[in-house]
Order: sequence, then structure tokens, then C-alpha cells
Amino acid sequence: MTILVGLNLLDRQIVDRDGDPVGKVDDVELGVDDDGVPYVAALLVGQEVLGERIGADLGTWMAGIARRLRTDRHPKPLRIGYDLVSEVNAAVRLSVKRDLLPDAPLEDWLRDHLVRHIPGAQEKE
Amino acid sequence: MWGTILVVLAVAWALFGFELTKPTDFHDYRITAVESAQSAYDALVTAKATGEAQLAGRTFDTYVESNLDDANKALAGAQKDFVGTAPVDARTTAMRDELGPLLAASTRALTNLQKAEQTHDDAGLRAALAAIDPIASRLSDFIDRHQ
Amino acid sequence: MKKLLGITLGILTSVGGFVDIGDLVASSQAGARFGTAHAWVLLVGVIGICAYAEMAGRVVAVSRRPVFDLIRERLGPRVALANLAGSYVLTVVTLGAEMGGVALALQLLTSANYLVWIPLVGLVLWLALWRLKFATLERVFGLGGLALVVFAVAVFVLPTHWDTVWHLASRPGPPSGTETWPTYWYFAVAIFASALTPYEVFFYSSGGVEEQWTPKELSQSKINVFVGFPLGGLLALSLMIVATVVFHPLNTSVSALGQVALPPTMALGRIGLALAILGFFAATFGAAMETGLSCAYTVAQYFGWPWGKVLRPVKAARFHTVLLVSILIGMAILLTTIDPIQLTEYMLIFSAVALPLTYLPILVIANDRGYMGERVNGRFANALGTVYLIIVLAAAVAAIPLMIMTRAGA
Repeated sequence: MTILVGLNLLDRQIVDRDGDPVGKVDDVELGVDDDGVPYVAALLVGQEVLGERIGADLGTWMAGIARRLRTDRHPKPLRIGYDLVSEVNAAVRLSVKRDLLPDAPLEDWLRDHLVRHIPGAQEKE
Repeated sequence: MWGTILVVLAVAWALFGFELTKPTDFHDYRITAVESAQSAYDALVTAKATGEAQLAGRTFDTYVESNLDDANKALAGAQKDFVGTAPVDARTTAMRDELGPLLAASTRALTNLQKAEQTHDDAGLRAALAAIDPIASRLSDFIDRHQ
Repeated sequence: MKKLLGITLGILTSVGGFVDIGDLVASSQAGARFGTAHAWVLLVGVIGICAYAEMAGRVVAVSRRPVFDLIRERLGPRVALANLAGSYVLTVVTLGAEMGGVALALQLLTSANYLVWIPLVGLVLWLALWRLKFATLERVFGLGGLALVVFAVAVFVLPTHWDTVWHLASRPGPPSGTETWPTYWYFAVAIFASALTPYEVFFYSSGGVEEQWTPKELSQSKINVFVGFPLGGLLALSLMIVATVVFHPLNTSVSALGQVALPPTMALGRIGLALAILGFFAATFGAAMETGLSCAYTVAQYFGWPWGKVLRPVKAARFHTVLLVSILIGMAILLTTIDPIQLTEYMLIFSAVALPLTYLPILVIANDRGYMGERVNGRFANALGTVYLIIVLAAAVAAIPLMIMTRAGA
């Protein structure tokens, strides 16, 4: 399958098998197969890679903030192997549930330190 | 790129500063005076309409108080702007001598209206409303002549 | 009744756009100063927002992607980030102003200075957005805003001279007297921008996702658009006409919310006044919800975070944090004692500048078969969309120069 990475993939919403949002395709990782043909190996998600793609001072700044929010010493963006992608249309649909993927660190931090402590945070609307 | 932006910003700021600090001329004074007169006129018209509705029993006290309060504030603001600008020549001095007393009379009329409203004094309210008309028409005349 | 409840999203969106705190005053002010000479702008605005909201609703129903998703996808991360920054600033300042509007409505009811009410308004707004169902919010405040229909009733109770109304409306331009063409166009741009504020499409399309529209709901979206937005436009027109009847002959202007309520008071007495204040309250509260949610929607949709009131808050922690922070920023802006009414009027002019970046991606995606399949734009929608893109561009270019030339319509 050929795919225009710039038009069909980058900046598209990624959703899990139930349609719940996972993140954006902030960047892609390319590989080269044995015949020398490049292919998309993985989708990369996170403000660090987005910041690097935006470039210039603003992008560096965004990437810097995203890195500082990490707790581990050598942070890596969320990497979703392309074999998990089941469908690409208005969104990029994965064949797995979101719970199987690690949550974004900022989401974790805000949930554990702020939102979870407000009464009613666990209830459906 | 950044250099150009900085230069443009600096020039814009300098123009702005000039506009702020340059001495008032006749034109500036006229604009301030007409705007103050218009605000005072608007405040009187609103107060009058509100007071009339109150006399006719068509409103709530809270609404009337809030409206008169707003009118009073607008009038005070107009007066402040007007007093803060000094006349520059004979013509503007004449404008000040005409509008100054009118603004003072507007303030008195509004204060009387507010007092009568607070004490639920219908006769006083009627008198205060009647006092508004001549002041408003003189303000309107002033605006027409100097606009 | 069920049909009526199905279109509350369109009603709420449009009430929040057409008769929020800035427009309640701006429409009355235009009526007082220019009579009905701006009526055509409302008509142009209603048709434009209908055209684009219909496209946005169709995109949501078919692809489930709200407007800000499209903006990032089509304009790329850099331009979209600039758009996000601009829209966020405009929307959060407007949010502050709308909370001020709610407080001003409470001032009319209690005569206590509006600043006293701001902390309470902020708290209740946050609680409503935290706890209440999206559908409940829509119904209570969309339908509550309809109390403003009292202005339409007042048009017929007041001694309206239809000849004068028609005379002014059919000759666009400043009526003879002291108003000038630049001021006339300044008001025209503001009224046009208020019809097409970006947060309306952000909110409307995100609301469609919250309501889980599918292609089955396409007709529901159409009814929402073609009933809701004209209704908002009609309310704004009523405000303009009653101001033409009551204030225009007196050569007086309108600058406070209390003055806006005078015409229905004169026409209908206490009931008219009470309904007007109720309408002010519901419309500004609805607009505050609309702008508050839009702040959080756009940020979350740019970054791809989970968002929406449909999710449990713990599942959308970043979304709810942005929402909370936005409300706090809005309150802080208000507590500087800046005049909320003037603030929204300025924001309208600045949002005119940002309009093209919001509407271009909608038009592009609505033509993309990869998204829309068979439901791409027809020729009519494209022609209309293109014409409006040109109008929007013209308004964007003219907005700031007009603002400087007329000293913001003074």
C-alpha cells in the first residue's frame, strides 16, 4: 500500500479500536526494507517530537517543556508500531485498546495530582 | 526579519507616544468636549426613560437603581475627561464656559432623581424628571453646534 | 417536543454567537446610531454561518472529526499553532467578558455591583461544566436564551414606524446626520464577525462529536443549522429594531446592559423587563459555557488529547485542567475592572482577522472524498463557501485599519 505520509498520515488523529483518542501522528519513523524501499515503521506521538518538527525557537521551547515534564531520565516519545494500525481514513485507527498503550506523562501527572482529587471526577456525566 | 519587526514596532510606539504627549489643539479639545456632552446627554436620556418607567410602575427597584448608577458613572467619567483637558484658545475657553455648567447641572439633576427614587418620593421624582428636559436639550444643542 | 430538544445545540451555539454580552449592546448601539441600516449585515452573516456550520456539521457526522482537527491537518502544525494561540487568546478573553455579562445581568436583578458576583459566577460556571450533562446544559441555556424573544414581541407592541425601519434598512450607509462611512463599516465588520465568530464552529462541531452524530444525524444537523442560526439572527435583528424605535429618534447611544432592557420595559412593563433580564442571564451564561468549552476543545484537539464531557474527567485530565485554568484566567481578566462590554467589542474586531484561518480548512475538507465519501460539497455549497471566504478575507483586512481610523467606533 502506498501512502502519502505528509498528506494522509502526519497530524491526523489516532484513535484506538473503540474510537477513543490516543494522540496525533506528531511524526513518523521510517524504515527501509531489503529492496531499499522506504516504509513507515512506526507512528510517534508526543509534544517532544511535535516540537522538533515545528522547529525554530518555539518548537525547541515546546519540546523542552515536554521533556521537563518527564520523570524518567531518557524520555522517549510514544512509539506505535505501524503493524498496530488497522485503518487510515479520517483518523488513524489502531487494532488495540488505548489502555494497552502507556498514557502521556502530562495526563498521568494532572490526573494523579489534580483532577482525581476533585469530587465527581470518577463519574460519568 | 526580526530587525524589521523591531524597527516597525519602535516607529509605531514613537508615533503613539507623540500622539499622547503632543499639546492639545482646537480639534482635540472639540472632540473631547463633544464626547463628554454626548455621554452626559446619553446618561440623562437613559435616566429619564428609567424614571418614567418607574413612575408608571413598570420596573423593579433594583433595575432602576442599577440603571441610575450606570448613568451616574458615565456622567462622572465624562466630567473627568472634560476637566482633564485644558482649553487652548479663546474659542475653546468659550466652549468650556458653556459646557462646564451644563455638566454640573446634569450631575445635580441625576443626584436629585436618585434621591427621589431611593425615598420613593413620587412628587420629587416628577420634579427631577421635569428638570432633566431643558438640560438635555441644551446639551443636544451644544453637540449639534460643535460636531 | 422531542424535535425541539434535538435542535438545542444549534440554538445555544447561535444565541452564544449572536446575542452574547457584546452583541446585546453592539446590536442595540447600531440600532440607536444607525437605525436598521445594518440589517443586511445580519442577513449576510446568518447565511454565511449557516453555510459553514452546515459543512462543519456534515464533516462531523461523516468523519467524527471536529473543526480544529481539520485545521491542524490541513494547515500543518505551525500555522495551526499560530491559529490556536490566536483563537485561544480571543476566546478566553471573550469567556471573561461573558462571565462579566452574567454578573451584569445579576447586577440588574440585585443592584449590587457586578464585580461582587464574579467569583460566584466563575464557580457556578465551572460546576456546571464539571457536573452537568452536555444535553442538559444545551437545553437549559439554549431554551433559556429564547426568553430574548421578548424583544421580538416588543417590536410589535412599540409604536414601530415600519416605513422608517424599511427606509433605513433599504439604504445601507450612515443615515444623514453626524455618522460617517468608516464608522458605519466599523460596525458592519463587528456585526458580521459576531455572526461568524470562530468559537461558534469550534463549539458546534465539538458538540456534534459529544452528541455522537453519525451519518444518520445529518438531517438533524441540518435542522439545527437552518433553525438555530436564523433564530439567533432574528433576535439580534429585534434588538436592532427596538433600538431604532426607542433610541434612534433621541440621537442617543447605548453603552450599558441596563439601557438594552429599556425597550421591552416600555413595551411590556415588568414582565418584559423580567424576561429580558432572564434572557440576558441565560444567553451570557450559555456564551460563557460555549467559549469556556471552546478553549479546552481547541487545545485538546490540536494536541490530540482525549476531550469531551462524554468522558469521565479522570479520563480527560488535560482537557479538564485547560477548562479550569481558562475559567480562572477569564475571572482574572474581569477583576482588573475592565469593561466587559467594550472588551467583547474589541474581541469581535480581532476575531475578524482570524476568521480566514478557521473557515478555509472547513471548505477544503468538505471537498475531500477521503473524508467525506459521497457527502462532499455540492456546487452550491462550494460557490457559497467561496464567496464567503472572499467576504471574510475582506473583513479581516479591513478590521484593524477601520478600528484605528474610527477610534473603535467612537
